[in-house]
Amino acid sequence: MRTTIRATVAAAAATALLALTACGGTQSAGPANDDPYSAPAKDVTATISISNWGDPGDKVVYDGVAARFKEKYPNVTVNNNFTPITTWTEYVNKLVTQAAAGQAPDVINIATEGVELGLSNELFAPMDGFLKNDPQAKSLRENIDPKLLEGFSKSGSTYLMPNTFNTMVIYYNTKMFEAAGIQRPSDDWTWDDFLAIAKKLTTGSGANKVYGFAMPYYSFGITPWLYSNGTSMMSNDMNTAQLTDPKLQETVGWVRDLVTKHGVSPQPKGADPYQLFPAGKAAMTGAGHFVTGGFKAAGFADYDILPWPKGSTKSTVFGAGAFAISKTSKNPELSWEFIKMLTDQQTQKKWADAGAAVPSTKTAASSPEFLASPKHAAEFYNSLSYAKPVAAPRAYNVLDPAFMRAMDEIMSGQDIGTSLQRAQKDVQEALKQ
Amino acid sequence: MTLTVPPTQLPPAPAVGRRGRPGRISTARRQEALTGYAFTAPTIVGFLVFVLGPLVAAIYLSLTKYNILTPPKFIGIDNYVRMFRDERLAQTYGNTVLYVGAAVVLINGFGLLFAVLINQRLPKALTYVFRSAYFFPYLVALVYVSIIWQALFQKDTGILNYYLTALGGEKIDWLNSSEFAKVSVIIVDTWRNAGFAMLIFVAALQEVPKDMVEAARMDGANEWQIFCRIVMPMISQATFFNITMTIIGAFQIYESIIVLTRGGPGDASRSVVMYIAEVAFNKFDMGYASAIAVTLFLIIMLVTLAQFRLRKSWVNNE
Repeated sequence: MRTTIRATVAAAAATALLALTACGGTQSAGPANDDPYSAPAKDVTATISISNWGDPGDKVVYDGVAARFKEKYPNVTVNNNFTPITTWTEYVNKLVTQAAAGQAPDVINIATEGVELGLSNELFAPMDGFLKNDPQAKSLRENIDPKLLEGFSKSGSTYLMPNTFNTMVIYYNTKMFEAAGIQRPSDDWTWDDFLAIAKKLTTGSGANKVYGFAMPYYSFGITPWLYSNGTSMMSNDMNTAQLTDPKLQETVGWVRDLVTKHGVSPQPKGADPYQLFPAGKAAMTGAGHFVTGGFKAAGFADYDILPWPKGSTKSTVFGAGAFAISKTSKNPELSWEFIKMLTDQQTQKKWADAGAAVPSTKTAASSPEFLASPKHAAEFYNSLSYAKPVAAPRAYNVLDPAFMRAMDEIMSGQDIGTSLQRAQKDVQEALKQ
Repeated sequence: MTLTVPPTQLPPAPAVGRRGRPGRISTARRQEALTGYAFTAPTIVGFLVFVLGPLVAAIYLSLTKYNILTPPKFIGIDNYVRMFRDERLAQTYGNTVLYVGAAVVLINGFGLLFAVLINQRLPKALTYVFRSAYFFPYLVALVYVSIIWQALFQKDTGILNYYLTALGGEKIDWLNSSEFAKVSVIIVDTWRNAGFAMLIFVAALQEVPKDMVEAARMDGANEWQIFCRIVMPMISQATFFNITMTIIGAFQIYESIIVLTRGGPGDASRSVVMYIAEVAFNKFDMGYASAIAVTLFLIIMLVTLAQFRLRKSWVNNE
């Protein structure tokens, strides 16, 4: 059930309850010190809580890490809180509410989308002390693409350790391509090539309808179209929304036309691309690595991946998952030990096998297990070289729903300019707050 | 709770007597009073904690800027001023007023219609079946049924469109068009709440004196005249109750929208309570959310007060 019902307490009652429980715990157990780092003693007794998210595949990995940690620190209780992910915004909102209630977890799993929000609300403690003085941290970080680390630092301090990432690529059904006599296009294929192929593969009607492309219909899934046309929802400094940018409007129009004009995509509302595609109801879709686990479970293997097609430029979007230590944590050292375990090679290998995301270390992402399927799996890590991080300002939890509201309106036939103008206003207002 | 003292216990000369036997009376009175307070305490405490406290807190917060992570900052009436240039608020209030109007007319209209039908001379078992059937939607959790409704409303596979096209109509995009998203919400809201209104009407209809109806019939009144001149006035208290409840309920409409359309497309079907929830728990702008909540509270209060004022002119108190 995707709908989170926050019941009808919405108005006055909840406002007041929050007011009563909110007490900003600002005590900082800062791990930043210059002494050589030494891990906590093995017999230490403590409790640490973790906030994790993901699909069932992720949960298996996290549970495995918790068990491994228990072996190392038998007297430490790990509260492994797991949130089945719906949208980023919902997860981040939950975290903020927890933090406001003074119940922030010790270790926070968060992705690019929530980083600015967390930093601006001072949810995370800097990790510089650990990173500088713990030799294990150095070897781990050297194995990670610097692009993944960039987004997790602010004003010279690093706050998060990445574990996995996702870039958006095009998935295509190899059998359907073959049957239609379509060759795998070159890696430099364009929007026009894409549309031509999508048209060729759109066939049938009624129950036999097959679409050329099942559209990923969420901000992260629409962003590659924007990036590959040289535009973005936000300015580079993340301070200004640019939803009314003419290029963005043009791109959104192109995306809409896939449905309304060319009919190569089904109306995205209520059509789950990640069911249509493995069911053979759509010849292509766009996704990150995160769908492969589901495809495997459904016994679907007739697919391969392609880079996102080029509009005015070759690009796509990436977002990384990472771990931070809560600023209010009473056990930063233990939290750090746990994070190291969450991001080490052994866990990375597990990520590679589970197929929920691309592991952040090159070693794991180039392991035979990871590269086994699909055929061009190397593209997942390679695409980082031209991908740009998802535009995630402080007000991402406003930007994401505002943009999707505008998309819904546009898909239902309303004017592109007016809808985006409204969203722009909403985001700008939130950025000013 | 009236504290009447039996006459025998009253002192002959009030002033002296009171001073003369103060202990006995005041002990009895105090005990009685304490018992009274003890009985009302749960309600009073509940009211203070769950109604008055939050209300006062909301009014205070509405004058602040508060993102729940940092302490509230007093900003005067800025939040209230801000509402006047908030297009989304205007839209959501507009939708809500539409929902209220539709709820008053449709829920009570259908409620009354079903009640009159059920009140006919039917076999008892049949009456029971009908009554349960109409009341049933009120008892089931909306979240589950919404999945069924969503399926019914689907553009290409939904049963509603199947019949529409079978009858020669055009397919309607019930959930994703700006106009029909609202219609869908109204349909589900009516479907859900008409049964409750019906139950109240049925109870009132059974209280209408049979001899009065018989007398009117003897005098040559037809069924329609009996309904308008006798039944309607006799059940006016139930009508008043139902209208008041539907107004208050519809102003707070939330669940049925979130499970059907999530307020979309855009804000086309969003209600003001959904908007408050979004501002509060998504934008974490508690001050502004509280300010909107306060306006909604005031509007509901004013409408209800106006209703009670108008009550005298049409509600029969016999």
